This record gives sequence, C-alpha cells and structure tokens, in this order.
Amino acid sequence: MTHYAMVIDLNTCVGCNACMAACAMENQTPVWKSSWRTYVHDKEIGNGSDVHRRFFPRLCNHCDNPPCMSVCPTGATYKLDNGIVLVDEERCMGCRACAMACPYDARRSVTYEDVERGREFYGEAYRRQHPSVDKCTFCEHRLKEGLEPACVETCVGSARMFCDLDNPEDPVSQLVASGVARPLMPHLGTRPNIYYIDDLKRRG
Amino acid sequence: MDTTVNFYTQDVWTWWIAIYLYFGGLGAATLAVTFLTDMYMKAHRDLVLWGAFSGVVLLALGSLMLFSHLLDHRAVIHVLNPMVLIYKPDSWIAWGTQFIIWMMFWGVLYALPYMYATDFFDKVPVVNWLLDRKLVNRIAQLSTRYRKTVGWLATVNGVGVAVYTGLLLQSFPAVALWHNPGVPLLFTVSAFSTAMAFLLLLMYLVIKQPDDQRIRNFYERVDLILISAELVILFSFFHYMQAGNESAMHSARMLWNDMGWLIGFIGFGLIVPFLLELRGVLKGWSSHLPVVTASVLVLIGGYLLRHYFMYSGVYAYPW
Amino acid sequence: MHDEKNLRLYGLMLCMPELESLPLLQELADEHPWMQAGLHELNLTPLEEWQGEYTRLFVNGFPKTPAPPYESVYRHQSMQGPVVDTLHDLYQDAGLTIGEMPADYLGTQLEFAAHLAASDDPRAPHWQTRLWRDHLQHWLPHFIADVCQHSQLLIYRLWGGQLTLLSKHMQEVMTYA
Repeated sequence: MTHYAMVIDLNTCVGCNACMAACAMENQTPVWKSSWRTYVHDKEIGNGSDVHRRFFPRLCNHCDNPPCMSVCPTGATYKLDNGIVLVDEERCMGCRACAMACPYDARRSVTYEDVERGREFYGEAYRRQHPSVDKCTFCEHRLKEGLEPACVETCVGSARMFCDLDNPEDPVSQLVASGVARPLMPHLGTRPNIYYIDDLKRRG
Repeated sequence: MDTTVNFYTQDVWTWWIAIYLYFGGLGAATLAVTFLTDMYMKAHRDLVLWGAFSGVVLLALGSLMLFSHLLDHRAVIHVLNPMVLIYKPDSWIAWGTQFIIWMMFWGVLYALPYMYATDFFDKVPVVNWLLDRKLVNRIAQLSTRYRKTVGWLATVNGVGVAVYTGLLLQSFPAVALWHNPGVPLLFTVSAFSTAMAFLLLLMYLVIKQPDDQRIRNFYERVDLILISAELVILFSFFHYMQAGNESAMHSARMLWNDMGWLIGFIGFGLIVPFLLELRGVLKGWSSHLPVVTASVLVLIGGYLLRHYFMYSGVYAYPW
Repeated sequence: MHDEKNLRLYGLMLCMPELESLPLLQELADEHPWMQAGLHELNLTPLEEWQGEYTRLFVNGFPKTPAPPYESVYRHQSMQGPVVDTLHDLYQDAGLTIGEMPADYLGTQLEFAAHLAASDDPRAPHWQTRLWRDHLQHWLPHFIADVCQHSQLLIYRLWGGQLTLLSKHMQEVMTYA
C-alpha cells in the first residue's frame, strides 16, 4: 500500500517562495487575492542581535484522521487509499466547516468571482468548474504520471522531500521512521503526514 | 518547531453563522416547548400555532443565512437528501439539515388541524386555498388521529436542531473554547432559555389569555432553572479556560476582558434576568413588566452568546 | 580582469533590478564595453520584464529555478550546505563577517574576491586561492552554463561570458601559482 508523506527541512528553507509560485501555477489557484495552497511563513526568532529568520512552509497535512473529512456534510472531502485527502469541487457546497475544523489552516475559499477570474487568468487550460473550498492535493494529478508535487520539484534547496512511508527503503521515509522529522501538533489526534526537521541553525 | 506559536481568530464563520445558531436554537426550542405544552399541559391552539409558525419562520430565516453563506449554492442538494445520514453520519451539519427539514415538516403537520380551528387563515391567500383542498383536509385528519406521534416527531427533531448546533461547534478540534463537552450543554440550555423567554413575551403581550397563568408560571420557573444552569456551565467554562491550554487562555483573555461579554451577556443577559425572575417566582411582581424585561434581556443575551463564541475561538499555530 | 572594479560589477549584476539600475549600468558602460549590447536591449525592455527574468533565473522559476546562485545548491542540492561553514571560516580568517546574504551566495563570494583584489594584506593571494580552489571552481562553470542556456536577456548571457573569462584566468593563475 502507498502512504504518501512529505518531509520539510526547516534548516534549508530560505524563504524563496518558489514552492508557493510553482503550486499556484500548477494548480491554478487565485493568486490575485493572495490565496495559497501552501504558504511559507517568515518569523524572526531570538532576541536583540541574536535573531534569525525561520521560514516555515505550511500546507495540508493529509491527515490519517482528518477532522475536515468528518465534519464535511456532503462527503465532498474524501481520502484516497494512498493517504491523499481531496475535495470534490462539484460536491462541495462551501459551508466552510472543514476550514473551521482544520488545525493547520490548510483550506481556502474559491468563490464564483474567483472561478470567473480564473477563466480569464489561466485561459482555456483552466480546470475548475465550480466554486468550492480548495486545498493542497499533493499534486495528485502529477503523482499519477510519476512526477513529484510541483512544490517538491521546484524547491531549490531540497527543503521539501516527498516519500512513501510504506517503502522502508526510501531514505526520506527513513527520516520519518528515525524520529528526526516530526509532525505538527500530534497530540490533537489528526495523525498528520507532513513531517518537519527542526531548525537548529548555529549562530555565532 | 514548538518554540513559536501564533494565535489567530477566524473570519470564516462570523455573525452570519451566529445569527443562524441563535435563530436555530430559539425557533426549534420554541416549537418543541409549545408542542409538549399542548400535548401534556393544556391543549392550546394559539400557543401551537405561534410555536410552529415561529419555529418554521426562524429556521427558514436562519437557513437562509446559511444558504447565502455557501460558496456553491447549487451543491446544497447533496445535503438535503436524507440518505446523507447513511454515508456521512459523522457530520453534524448533515444531521442538523435533516433535523431542520423534518422538524418543519412534522411541525406544520402538527399545527395543521389547529389552522382549521381558527378564522385567521381564511383571510390569508394561498393558505386558505390550500386548506380547502381535500388532500390537505385528509392530512389534517390523520394528523389529529396520530397527534402524539406527529407531535413527538416534531419535538424530537426540534430538540435535535437545538442540540446539534453545540455538537457542531464541539467537532472543531483546534479551538479549546469550542472543543469541549460544555458547548453542547451551553447551547442547548441557552436555546431553551431563549425559547421560554420568547414564549413568555408572546403570552404576556400577544396571546394574553388569563387562564394561561399556570403555563406562564411554569415557563418562568423553567426559565429560572435554565438561566441558573447556564450560569453554572459558564462558571465551569471560566475555570476551564483560565487553567487551559494556550488556545483556551487566549480565548479567556479576549472574553473575560470584554465589557460586551461581561456586562452585556453575563450581566444583562443572565444575571439581571435571573434576579428579576427569581423575585417573580418567590414573591411575585405586581405587573408583568419585570418578566417582560427579563425575557427581552434573555433574548438579546442569546444572540450575544453565540456572537462572542464565534469571534473568540482561537487557533494556535506553531509557525 | 580580476581587479576590484570588475569583480564588484559582476557582483552588482546579481542585484534585483530597480529603476536606478539601468542608468547606473549605463554610467559604467564606458569602462566595461562588454555590457553595451546588453544595455541596448535593456533600454527597450520594461523594468517589470527585466525583474521578472531576474526572478525567474535566480530566485523563483517554474517548474524549476534555472540558476540559483548558491554553491550549496550546485554541490549538495540543498541550501545552507556544509560549504557554508568552510566559507565562514575563510571569511573569518580574512577578518570579515558576512551580512544578510548567505556565505555561499555568489554575490558574497564575488564581494570577497573584490575585497581581496583591493587588499594590501600579504595573505590576500592565499585567501584568493582558497576561494577559487576550494569553492568557485567547483560550481561557477555549471552556474554560468545554466545562465547562458536559460537567460532570455542578453545582459545575463554577456555577464556569463565575463564570468567564464574570469574563471579561465583564475584557473591559469592557480596553475602557475
């Protein structure tokens, strides 16, 4: 069985935002309102002269126990066998209960206006037909063709790594198995699948 | 990674949803209380008609708020189908939608025989035409024959509507203010408390039948108990939040420093009505003005509760 | 070729183009004739397009950024790789600390080279050798190849050409050192 996950190394992310741009182009998101499926947060940590900037890429965690899926009233949010959590845009009525339930701020609204604008902006290639709630899909359409998610492929510093947790030979899944890469807020019970390697930048 | 945490409220479910939560609880509980009164205390045509009417209208208005809030209105069809409970039994919105639909359905059926018992609807266009139809007549007769069944079906669904709103908010795990068993209790108690207040207003200002004094007294006592229960639950919430996790403590700081919450809701929405009704129950008032005042304050408080709950939920993000 | 002025100019080419950029380069064009054809093209190019091309080449390209100007990327396929530490040590030996940009950023390395070219310190040639032998020679040629292959603006291809000449010169200097 495949069990997709992503490992993000906070030591090597330099906040270039290439992943945000690549995702937006690949997945045709409403860039005109700064709405991103994945977002790189920029935070200064430390005091006085001993301050460093930490860049923190955040995206849907494709949880194994996704609260967004339980609250969805129409069944629009569903989970594939390979672990990817998807939204059926035709079925989604946009009540936003999933956005309320998600602890990782992963979901964004796409409105009627956004769909119209998307048709202008992305042209004939625009795939979306209906407004709905939108989120990262691990570029499921690319995975089907043996490609990696756009954000992973474009990452200059290899801060993003993609793996199959059910493949013990995969060195990236070994990072997860070893405990070096850890998930966010695991005590919430969501069983997320984005694992972070903590940033331990040496200073001075 | 855990060294930094940022705190945010949300702007996705705002006063639109708060209004729905309020109307939902108020309308459904009103319907349920009037039907139970009619079935077990005293057959009361006007109370049932007002109860059913308020229930249906308030839920319709509330549902309209929800419907307008949707991103894709066309897709609402997927939740209207009762089969949704088979494949999405874990979604409280699915349950709530069905509770609303069937509460309205059985509620109208229960009220139907009473609609024939008054001249009022003879003057209302479309309704008077419908009431003249043989089929509608037949349905009214069936409703009379199976009164208790129809009444309980409406009541159960009504209680479902009143209770589910709290369960819905409870199902969001990231926010401590919402993700606890106190919320369904609080929202249910508040729904019924606002219903009692609404019915007291109706009975004192609109229906005004002197032989209803027993019912009015009963409603006052029940409201007094419900407000007390609400104060106890909120007291528990206060301590839960003060000694809670980061999300809880941030919510606490927002709420318990806000005059609108403290003075507006706790003060005027609960404590003042409690005192007014306590005096009324123990010693009585010479006029019904204090009870009417208390009822209006409870009704305002009911909205404030849901408003503050939506705006004070805090998400703690580790980035 | 390897004097301070040239090296600083090569470093300057890595800055984000702004309104003042073209006039500044035009002032320098007399002393650096290699730029002229590129500047002529830039004169006809809107600033936004220049900025877009700069961003696409060096910062944030789709599907992949063609020429990220960092040694770690070329040598270790990551950012903040092990070379950052060795570069820190080198800069420290020369009595310098770096600013905001990473140690392995091409702009930082060219600045360092420019500083050494202007320095009277007898140890400067030694540090220069370390910079080229241990760092630049391992990745600069690949970087230049990517710039020349992918750049749609002539100015960057010409810049790549200058960096090639610089590399060749340094190779010769090290061989005969």
